[in-house]
Amino acid sequence: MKIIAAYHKAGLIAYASHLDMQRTLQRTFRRAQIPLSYSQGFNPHPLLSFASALATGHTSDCEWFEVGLEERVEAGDFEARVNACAPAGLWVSNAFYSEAPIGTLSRNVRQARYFAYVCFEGGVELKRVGEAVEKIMAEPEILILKKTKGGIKPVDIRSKIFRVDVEKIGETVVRFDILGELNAAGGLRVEPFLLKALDGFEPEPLITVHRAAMYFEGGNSLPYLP
Amino acid sequence: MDKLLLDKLLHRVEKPARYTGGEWNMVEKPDAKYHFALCFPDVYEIGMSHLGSRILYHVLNEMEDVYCERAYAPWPDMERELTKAGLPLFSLETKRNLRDFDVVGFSLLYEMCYTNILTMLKLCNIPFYSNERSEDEPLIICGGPCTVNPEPIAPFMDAVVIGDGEEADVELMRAVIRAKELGQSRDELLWELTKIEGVYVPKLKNPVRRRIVRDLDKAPYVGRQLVPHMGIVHDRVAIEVMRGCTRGCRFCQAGYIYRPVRERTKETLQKQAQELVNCTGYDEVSLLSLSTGDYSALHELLPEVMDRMEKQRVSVALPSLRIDSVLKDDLEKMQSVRKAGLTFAPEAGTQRLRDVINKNVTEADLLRAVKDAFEAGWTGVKLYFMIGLPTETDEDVRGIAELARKVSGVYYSLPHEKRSKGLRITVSVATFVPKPFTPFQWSPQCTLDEIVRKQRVLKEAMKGVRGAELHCHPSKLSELEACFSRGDERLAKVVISAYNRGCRFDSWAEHFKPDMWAEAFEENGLTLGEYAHRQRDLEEELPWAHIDVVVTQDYLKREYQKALKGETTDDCRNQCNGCFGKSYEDYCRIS
Repeated sequence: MKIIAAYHKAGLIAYASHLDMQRTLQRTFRRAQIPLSYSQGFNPHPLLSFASALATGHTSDCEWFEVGLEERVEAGDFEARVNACAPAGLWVSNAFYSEAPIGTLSRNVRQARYFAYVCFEGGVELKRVGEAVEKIMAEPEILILKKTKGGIKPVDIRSKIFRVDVEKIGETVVRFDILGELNAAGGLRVEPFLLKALDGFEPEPLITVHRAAMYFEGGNSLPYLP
Repeated sequence: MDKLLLDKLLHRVEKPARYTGGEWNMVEKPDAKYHFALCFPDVYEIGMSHLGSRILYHVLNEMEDVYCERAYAPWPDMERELTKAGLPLFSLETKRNLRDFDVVGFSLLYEMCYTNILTMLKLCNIPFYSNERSEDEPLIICGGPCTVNPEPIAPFMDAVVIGDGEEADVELMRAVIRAKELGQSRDELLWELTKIEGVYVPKLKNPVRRRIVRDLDKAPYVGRQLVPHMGIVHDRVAIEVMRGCTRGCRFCQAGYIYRPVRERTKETLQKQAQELVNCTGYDEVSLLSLSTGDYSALHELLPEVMDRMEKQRVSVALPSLRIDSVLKDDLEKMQSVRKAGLTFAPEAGTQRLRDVINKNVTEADLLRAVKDAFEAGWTGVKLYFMIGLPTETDEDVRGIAELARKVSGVYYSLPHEKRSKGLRITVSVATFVPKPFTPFQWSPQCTLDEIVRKQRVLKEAMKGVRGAELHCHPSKLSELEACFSRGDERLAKVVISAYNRGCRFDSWAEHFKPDMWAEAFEENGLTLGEYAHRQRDLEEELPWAHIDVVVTQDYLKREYQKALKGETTDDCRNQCNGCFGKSYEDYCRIS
């Protein structure tokens, strides 16, 4: 049986990579003595899978995952036990067992909401930022350089951005509220998009990204498309 | 450090998790009065794998009022960012400047990390030389196996811990606390430190005897082992089954400087393994020592540990088995959990040369062991050798290929149904580095040209060995290692010159700058040759002669002379060879 839950990533653990998090979660489950089920075969590993990989350096409140268990652990109990054994900045929430089969998380995820905190050293006018966003969103295409197997190629990401709102939350910080595409093939990469939108702002602003929500096709107890 | 500054730095470097701390089991002691920075002059992934540092982190943090934090050498990208931003190197736990600590201690595991010590000091604006530092700067100390010859780095150090650190470091920290409480000067403190067994103060040149923990079974261990987020080199629970080795391989420094052998009881080891698995969540336990196959209760311990761990889906690894240990049953058991690679270290290609180096392993031992391994389903074996050993001839070098050919032959002589597919024999050949406190401490290292020639001879001889692959290591680094392992105080200036020329992370192939090192020697009027390739006279005063590692120079001389005659020395579990001289009664009670 599989239990589904979301993990949260806050503070400095944000700098752990997706692979690191996979390892860290497995070890946390083992410390919590969660009865994990393992794959068959030569090199058995826990059946742990994620809706999406989070970029290194990003924080999150919505990293959905599923993990196979050998015996049922009540959802509340699962959360409490895991959270008692998790390192600083990592915790799980919203655990549940799905009644209906919901398929693979990564295949059903469609969109994500991001808060990007952009720090402009020496202050900034919200109006100027707003105009920069309007300008780029009015373009028919937004080309970002992407590393692929065949070298570095420009890719149009305009269709991956659904909504962008800006709000000033301090002398030097503007919060971008972004709804973007997220699916098995990848999705919107927020940092390159913002660097492109804010091209011309000096010095280059520091961007920290927080994934606030993921939305899934069909819902089935998971957050569904708004 | 400010969170925003930190974020800025971490956004700009690769593998930022090297600098964040926050790992499971990290110690937090906000109210501690005294601060110890446990530093490792290599990158996080390496330093975090070091068992000795794990032990010291635990014992120091067990002290009331003491908070031990960690710092590792910043990778060149981080060094650049710190320098550009004018920021100091900071500890992982509280992100504090190393300069604000009472003691900064470096673990020295290999000589080629010395430039990184300077990087770490420089970033914190701490002067390199001990005599240029003021009273309010931290006490700079070091420990670890390199310190048996502390001379090349002695001028940088206020104190050097020689031998086992788990008791000595605690005593040193107590002396530091007492000095602070009494308002003693740095010089008064240094004087106090000379009273601690195993502590050498370069400024005072005090006589010093290597520190030995007498009862390993009762000695403190790692406590709650840190569990890093990012992958590290030895990412598992490590249980130290024993310290020291009785074999007496003549090239092996560890074989002499960790004597006498001290074992932990199997009950203690079982308990530690279980506690560590519980508090870390690791799924692998490694039974560590210089030669785990020699642990006296191995055949009782192994089935018990494996049985217990297997039920918890934890695999057990034995990293240093000798070829002559009874392997077959153990191999079959190990295979049931997970199949790791098998490594054998005959070290030399012919029996004659193996007798010279006292590696008392025969060809028959090796061939029997690989046969067992192939029959148990292994297809990948690594064979470790050295070239440039004293008395070596081309016949010995070609003997390496002969041995590989025989190993390959063992595999192909097995019937098809008894062997798995895909034979891979990796023959790994390192360049011999003579080390202090070994019988070869007087021997010259082969010159680079000679090593290159020998490598060519071997390459030629390896042709046509089915399933084998030859890896020869670059020898320029080994030459430098030979200089520093047997170096004197004059080399401190060379380290600084090399650092100033941009040398960093010298043991990393992508960073090693041999030309800059050559210039650094030249600038100081020295040559690599006089350190690496010179035959030392048996009566010559060696730069490390003032350090008493308990194994006597007389014994090493005897062993050297036997080596040249090709005579072997028996394992000291079978008979006492008198390596401690008169100290035997106090220090060694093996038999």
